[in-house]
Amino acid sequence: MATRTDHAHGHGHGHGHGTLTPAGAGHGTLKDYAVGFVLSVILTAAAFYVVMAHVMAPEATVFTIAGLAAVQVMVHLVCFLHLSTASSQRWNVTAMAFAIVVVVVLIVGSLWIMHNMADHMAGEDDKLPPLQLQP
Amino acid sequence: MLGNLTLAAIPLDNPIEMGAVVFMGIAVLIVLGFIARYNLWGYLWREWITSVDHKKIGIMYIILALVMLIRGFIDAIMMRTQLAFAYGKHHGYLPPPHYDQIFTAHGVIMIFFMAMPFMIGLMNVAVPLQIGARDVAFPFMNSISFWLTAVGMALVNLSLAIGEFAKTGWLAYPPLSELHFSPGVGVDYYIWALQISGIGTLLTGVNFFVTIVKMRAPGMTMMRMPVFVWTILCTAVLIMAAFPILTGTLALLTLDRYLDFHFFTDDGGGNQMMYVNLIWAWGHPEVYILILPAFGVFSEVVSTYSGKRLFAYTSMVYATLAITGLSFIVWLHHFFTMGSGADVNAFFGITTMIIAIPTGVKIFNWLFTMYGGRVRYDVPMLYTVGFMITFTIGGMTGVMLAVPGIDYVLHNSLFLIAHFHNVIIGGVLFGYLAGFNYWFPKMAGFHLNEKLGKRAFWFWIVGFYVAFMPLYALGLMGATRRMEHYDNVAWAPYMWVAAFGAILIMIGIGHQVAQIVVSIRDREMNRDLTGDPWQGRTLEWATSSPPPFYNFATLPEVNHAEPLWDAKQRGTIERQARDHYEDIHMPRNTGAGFIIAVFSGFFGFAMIWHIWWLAIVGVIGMVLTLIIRTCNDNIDYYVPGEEVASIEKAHFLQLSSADMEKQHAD
Amino acid sequence: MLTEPAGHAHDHGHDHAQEAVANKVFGFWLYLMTDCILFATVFAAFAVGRDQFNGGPTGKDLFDLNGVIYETSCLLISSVTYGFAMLGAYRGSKQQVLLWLGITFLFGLGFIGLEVKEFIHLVSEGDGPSRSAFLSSFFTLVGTHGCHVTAGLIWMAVLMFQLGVMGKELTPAYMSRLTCLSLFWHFLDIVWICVFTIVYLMGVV
Repeated sequence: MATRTDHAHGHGHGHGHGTLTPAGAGHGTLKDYAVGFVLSVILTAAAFYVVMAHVMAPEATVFTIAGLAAVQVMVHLVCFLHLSTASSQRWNVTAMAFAIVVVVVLIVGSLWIMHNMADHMAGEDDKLPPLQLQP
Repeated sequence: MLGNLTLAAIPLDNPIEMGAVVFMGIAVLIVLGFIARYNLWGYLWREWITSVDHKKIGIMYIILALVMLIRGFIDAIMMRTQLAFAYGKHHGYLPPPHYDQIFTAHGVIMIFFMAMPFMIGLMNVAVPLQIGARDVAFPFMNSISFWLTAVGMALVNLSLAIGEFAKTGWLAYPPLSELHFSPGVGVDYYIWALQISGIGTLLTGVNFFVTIVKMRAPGMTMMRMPVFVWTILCTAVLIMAAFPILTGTLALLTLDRYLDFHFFTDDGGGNQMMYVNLIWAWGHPEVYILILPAFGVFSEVVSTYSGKRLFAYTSMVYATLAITGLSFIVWLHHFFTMGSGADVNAFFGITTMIIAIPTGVKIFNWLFTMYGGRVRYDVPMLYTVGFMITFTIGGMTGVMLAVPGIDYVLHNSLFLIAHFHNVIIGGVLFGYLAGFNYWFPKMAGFHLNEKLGKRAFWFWIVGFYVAFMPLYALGLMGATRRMEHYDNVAWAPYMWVAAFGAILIMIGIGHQVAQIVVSIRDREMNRDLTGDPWQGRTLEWATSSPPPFYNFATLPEVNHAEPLWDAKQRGTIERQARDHYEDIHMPRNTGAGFIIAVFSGFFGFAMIWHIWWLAIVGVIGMVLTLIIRTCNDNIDYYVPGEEVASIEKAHFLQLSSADMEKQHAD
Repeated sequence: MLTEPAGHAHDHGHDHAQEAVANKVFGFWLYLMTDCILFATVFAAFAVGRDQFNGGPTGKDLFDLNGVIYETSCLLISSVTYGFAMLGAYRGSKQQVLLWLGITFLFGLGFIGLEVKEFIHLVSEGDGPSRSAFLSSFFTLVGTHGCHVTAGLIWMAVLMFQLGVMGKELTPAYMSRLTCLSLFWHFLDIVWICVFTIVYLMGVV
């Protein structure tokens, strides 16, 4: 059987920039990475500051740092992973959306179920009266 | 040097196990002897072991599944015969530790090493052809997937000869599966067999999703795909979403057992209920992974053998999507009795009932497809009608169990066993057997013996009812699962009937074995010369049987759902070879997939027996093989157009001589 | 057999390679989504075990947030430097790729080094994973992330070897590998955001 290796890479150098872009992934610029970096540093610093300096009540702290984390995740997705609504990215976004739904269902569902079960169990805090057997 | 492995690991004191080991050994020797006698080593390596061709990989998966069907069925017959005798004073021939391994092995084998490989085999054989593609998206990864599954199967079979298997049931709940209560190697065999084959399955999910989304023939929009392809797409989604949960949960159990972690232990703050929760978060999507491809097969079969377009294609697609989505929010129905409150139980009970609705839609669509058609009751159609009746009954008992109040009485009783065998045999197995009979001529190039196939079907379906209907009654009478002896003598007659049913099924399986043997013997007389034995409607029937290794000499252009049927109506089917064919880009065969899997087998075996140096060798071997593979640039080639042309010419010659033969005969 | 319009001939090889690359990257993205769900399983186990101290130490007792700040900085900087490597790849400059991959590798190694140091310290104090369900969950979640980072480092080293020592060129195949590793590396930084927030920060609140 005659063999011929993939001759596509011969084209690469001639056509310049575009052919080396792997289709299917987004393509970033220096600006994207710089903006992403600065935002991430700010969001990270804020979260650590809020916790280490004890500026809020515990509950408020938890909500704040969760929010900061969620925003930073978005920053990473857009600036570093180049996710967008462009048609080349659509399947990626769909897959991610579905994965997020499954993650949320799994974690929230598990927490709800386990918490509910724990409530129904006798624990160290619940003092049941000692079992009285018939004399 | 050898960790915990000693000669004592061989169960010389157990005659039944030793008998099984000897039997397995003889079977292996016969196969090896056959290969040696006809000097097939080179052929096997070049054409099968190193193959990255989806058609060959599919066939290997199906062979694996059929072999394990027999192994899993032997476990079943042992359980049924034990229970026919073991009541009151009698204790049968299987003591509890052995019986526990048998029911565990039965479940693990049937789900992981029979049903999953069977399904993955069918999807490999059919999907690329149905979408007009030349192969799957990642052929090398396909090879890895198969060999990893084969290694998992090898570990399960090895446990019979060296060591023991788990005694925990097929889901290995802690605390029983923790080191404290299962100090032997059984649970470790279970863990590593599942982890290794689980990686294979996960990769298959990714592979087929990309294949279906990105590699359809030009003009085949999503809404023009065959329904089987839709069900495989959804199955791939379920695999990708669910299998990581299994991998993670088993990993946590592994950490508990090997490194004294406390995820699910009695002490240290562990929580066994979390294991049950997580394992079923995987386990429920898993049963939908099993049934959706079967539904897909039925759609193809009903349409083909009724000679009619599938009724309400769009609603079939939406029903499949609905089932896929809903399957993630029902999992608690497997542990209603574990202690959650009425609100949680009610939520999951309601969602479980809702998920029955889309399946009902599908059943009506299949019935409406048959109505007004000229139905041919070939073997696949028999399994389909058998499915519609049997699965409906099983589904109804499922809806009963979905009511938490009822489930409190019936959980873990023989009623549950009857229910899930009802849907798995009636749905999953009948679907895969229908698919096997339907696509066999395409895979092999010749027909299966019809008479033996029909007899096999009748023994299966009658056997199923005789074996499992008594179990519904027994469950309602209070009989529980996983017991090897019972005191209530009134149950015995039911157990006898069930055992007789198992024997009927055994005769059915015997007929299936005979069917394959006789068909191979008679293959020259039953060649499929046209490639389209059933007046098919989808693209796989537009190729020869078996198809050429490149599937399609020119990629089809699709204008219609049911592209082949449409082409037949318009008379646009090519009847002769073209003058010129393009070169075709194909991947090379490679042994890397097989080698990686072999190293994974060393790793698994080493982890089970605590042979740490061998485990390290296994990991390094896997990684190095993969790295060496990525350094290799010579992984594909072009088939010259001239070679394609000569293959196509021969094919069209055969077609026209088949046509002439038909004309003479008519 | 159904017919195909003529005239596709010449560009086939080229389109073919781009399609294959796109499919590989998409397939890898899907694998990352499954990895997401794997992490979710471990996070769920952590959520259930997070307050099971078994009479032992809590997060507040054990966590050194300064160390976490150093780790986070290493990983974040390495994410950006990998981005620079990709920019170099798009420009076709193998030199830039090797330089920035090398820097990324060093920061990644720094991250792992700090993490290993923390683990060793905890175990030597008797606060290893066997102490309680909380510590089991902690070590597993942080450790799973660390194993992924280590795998990424090995992958990175192999790529640098192939491009640098073996002299491979930036063909579509290597571009797809660099892209996949890029997705992997950024994904791990995203998971780390969740880890430092949920495990360390919420652990001391």
